[in-house]
Amino acid sequence: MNLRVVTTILRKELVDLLRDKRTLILMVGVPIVLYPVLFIFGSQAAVIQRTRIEKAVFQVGIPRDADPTLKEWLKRIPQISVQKFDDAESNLRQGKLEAVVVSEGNLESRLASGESVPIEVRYDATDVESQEAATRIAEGLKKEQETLLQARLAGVGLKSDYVQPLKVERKNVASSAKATGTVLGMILGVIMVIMLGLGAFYPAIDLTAGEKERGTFETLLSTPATKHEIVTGKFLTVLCLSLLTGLLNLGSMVLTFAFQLGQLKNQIGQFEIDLPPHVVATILVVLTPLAFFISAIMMSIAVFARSFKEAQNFMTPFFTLLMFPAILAAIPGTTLTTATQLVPVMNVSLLFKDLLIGQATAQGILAVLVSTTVYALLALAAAVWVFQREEVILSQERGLPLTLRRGEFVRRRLPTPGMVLTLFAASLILVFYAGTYAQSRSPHVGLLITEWLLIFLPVILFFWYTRVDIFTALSLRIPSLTAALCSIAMGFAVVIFSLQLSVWQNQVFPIPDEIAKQLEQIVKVDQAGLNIVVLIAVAALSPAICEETLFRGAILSGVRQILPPWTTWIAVGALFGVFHISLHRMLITGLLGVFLTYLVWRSDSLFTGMIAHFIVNATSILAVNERLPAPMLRWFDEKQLMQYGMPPRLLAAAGIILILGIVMLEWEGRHRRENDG
Amino acid sequence: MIRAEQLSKIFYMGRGNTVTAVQDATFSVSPGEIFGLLGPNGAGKTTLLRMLATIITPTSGYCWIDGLRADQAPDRIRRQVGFLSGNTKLYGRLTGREVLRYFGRLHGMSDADIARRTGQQVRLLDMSDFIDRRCETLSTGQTQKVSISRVLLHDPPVLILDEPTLGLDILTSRTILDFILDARNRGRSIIYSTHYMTEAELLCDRIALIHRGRLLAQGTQEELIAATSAASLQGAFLALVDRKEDATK
Repeated sequence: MNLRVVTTILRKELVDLLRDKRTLILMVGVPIVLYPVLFIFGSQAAVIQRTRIEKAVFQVGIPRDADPTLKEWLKRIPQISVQKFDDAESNLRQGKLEAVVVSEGNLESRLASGESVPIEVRYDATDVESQEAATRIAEGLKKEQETLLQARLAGVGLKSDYVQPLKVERKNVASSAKATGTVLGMILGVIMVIMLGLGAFYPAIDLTAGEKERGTFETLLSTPATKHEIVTGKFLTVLCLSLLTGLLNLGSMVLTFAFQLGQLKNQIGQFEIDLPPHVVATILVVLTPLAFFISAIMMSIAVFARSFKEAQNFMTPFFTLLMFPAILAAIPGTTLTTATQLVPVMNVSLLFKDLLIGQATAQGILAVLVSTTVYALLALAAAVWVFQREEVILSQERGLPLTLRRGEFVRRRLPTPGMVLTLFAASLILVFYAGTYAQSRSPHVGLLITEWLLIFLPVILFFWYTRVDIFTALSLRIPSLTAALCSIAMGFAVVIFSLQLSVWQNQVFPIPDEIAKQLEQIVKVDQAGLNIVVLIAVAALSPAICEETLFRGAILSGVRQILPPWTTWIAVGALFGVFHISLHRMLITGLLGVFLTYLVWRSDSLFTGMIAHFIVNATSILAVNERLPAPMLRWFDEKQLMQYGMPPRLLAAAGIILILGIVMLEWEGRHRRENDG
Repeated sequence: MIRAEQLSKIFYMGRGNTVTAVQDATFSVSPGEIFGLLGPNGAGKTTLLRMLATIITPTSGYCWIDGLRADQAPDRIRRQVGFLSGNTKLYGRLTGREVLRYFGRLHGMSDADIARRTGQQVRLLDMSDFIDRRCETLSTGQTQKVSISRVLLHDPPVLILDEPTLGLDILTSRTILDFILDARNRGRSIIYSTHYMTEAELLCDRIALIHRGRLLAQGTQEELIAATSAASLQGAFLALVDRKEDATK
């Protein structure tokens, strides 16, 4: 690699981008101007509002026939004006009063006889001033209560300790700096992912899809610069701008924060930040591989797009996905463990949390640095791979027809990747809203509606409307005998592995009872109130047909055109995992998705996926309902399973079946290619 | 200097669907020669030129530039080639001079050489009024002059030019054509693709007629006309297309 070429590309790209107003506004304008302005105006507005409320005298109403003692007590509360009303509550509802205090009967006589006097403070919880008035009244009356209690106890010769045998006191040993660190730690990860992502977002698009759209890519490719040099130069530009944006944002936030700290202290009491230089240095060191990862992955996605607009469409959902692990890390209780150290983005966010509360360990820092760097290098390798593909680099915008009339769509054998991603997004939204609603009304009818009307039907309608050849796109071919037998055998093997995986997963993330109950409602005969055959048709056969049609049919046919085989399996599998909208099922369904995608990809028949999917679902339902032969049931016994996992011999047998299946499918695939070619 | 043998490009459109853009193209171009590639839109001219410029890889066949085989030394070949097509546009946010400096550096030229060559090109192509303006503000003719300068800056022995006068006025076209003739006189090997018959007649020493990815015939203008008994180059082209269509039926 020629360093002079790389630096030439880097310098040119930086100049080119920094001459663009959009980059400057996003990179420099937002952090330097927006934070101080937002913070200053925000905190000033809060101070003004706070002062106004503190100084306000609230109008409090009592019924006209209220006991004078009540009025006396209320009058002793500062900044409260008490008036009698015939209909105090309607005045409160109309906003003419901030609160109404009601008490029944003669207070003095009730107190004298040792009774408790019920007092009701009515307020409007949607109104800040009404809430404040209620707080003032409650605090004022609490003082009266203490005075009265002291008098009562003195009357019978008791001390106040008598009525308070236990004095429980909660004492917070965390320093205020640690408390502030915890709060900051929760948000810092999310903020930095957003900032680094924002910094990389526009340059990643501009240097790839933007360059394609402007027709300058080919000019660059006609020079002696190699693809590696071009990718490296462009990647370094994106990385520089991502880091610059991240650091400008971080710097601007810290400065604004420090500047406003004095004011904040006055308003919300103890508020300190303890950021020793080594913590700041570690944050900066960890930010670099994170920016590296985000930049590389954004660039490899953006390069698939044929235009700036298309790239924005590709990147926006990805950006949201990227924030997801950071948000997960922000949930209280999530900590940096051996497992979470390996989750990209989440690991860095959790490390920030530890650093800011002074609990980071050298091992943790090293593990996060190493794993993030590995992910970053993988993402860069993916970017380099994508740049080697001339059909990706030289593809140009063809665009949708001007109108969306069916007749305007060009007939095609296969859908484009953009089309199938649209289909995926539409199905996900339909399932999330309509499917969840339907299943909450009736689990089984809802499941049928979800599968057939919200997953299967949209695929058929979409392909019909966009004039895609449904048979070719969905690989509706009868599988060979070998492929069919392999899908049956491998389906059983996969059940064994997915159960073992769920055991391991349960040890790290135990399944919440609610989710377990919901699943049981669907798959258990006694709870479902359905015959086992009907249950299998609803909960095993329907998903096998409909979900395979969407994922291994439609989505696979679009995605495989732009991705190499292994990435296609992972991508379709990951989408399948996400589609189940359950964190708990995501990993296992994702891996199942990878297997099913491989099966259909290699056998070139959607039916193999349907067969294996059906076997996995049906075996699980039969096992849960104890309808399998007795020796097999022992393997699926929940207690046994959770304690010992699957018998090692069974796992080994399943592994052998899987390997044999893959070997046979590969052999058959090669044979078929030779015959075709 | 340029040699192509059985060069083919098949685009795979997914699951067995293919489009053959170029099929079995064989020809050679000597130093000091302009080889015209004449054919209608979509004939495969740009794909063929992209393969020669090593922008895309051939599905089969080979090509040599200056003795180097394209698939073995693509980077070294690109040093020997100046490639211009409708898809090689300029960076709008850079000035013409910055564009030339950028591409000069990518071709391994020293800054002093870039400055000297840029000065020469600015004089010869009369670009002093706009060379320091951003490319996004230039007219079509001005942009094409900067593009031609980009191609010639490193003084490559091989020029691959795909419709360089498309959309230009007569005066700018003449300047560019003069520039190309000058390059030929300096011993450069030039492949010139166009669908303007008059340009081909005016410039090219030899011409290949391309239709649906296949080279129908090649030779001097006179040879092509004689082989088809046509009255003009246009007539020769139409006759060859008709002959090909009849043979396909």
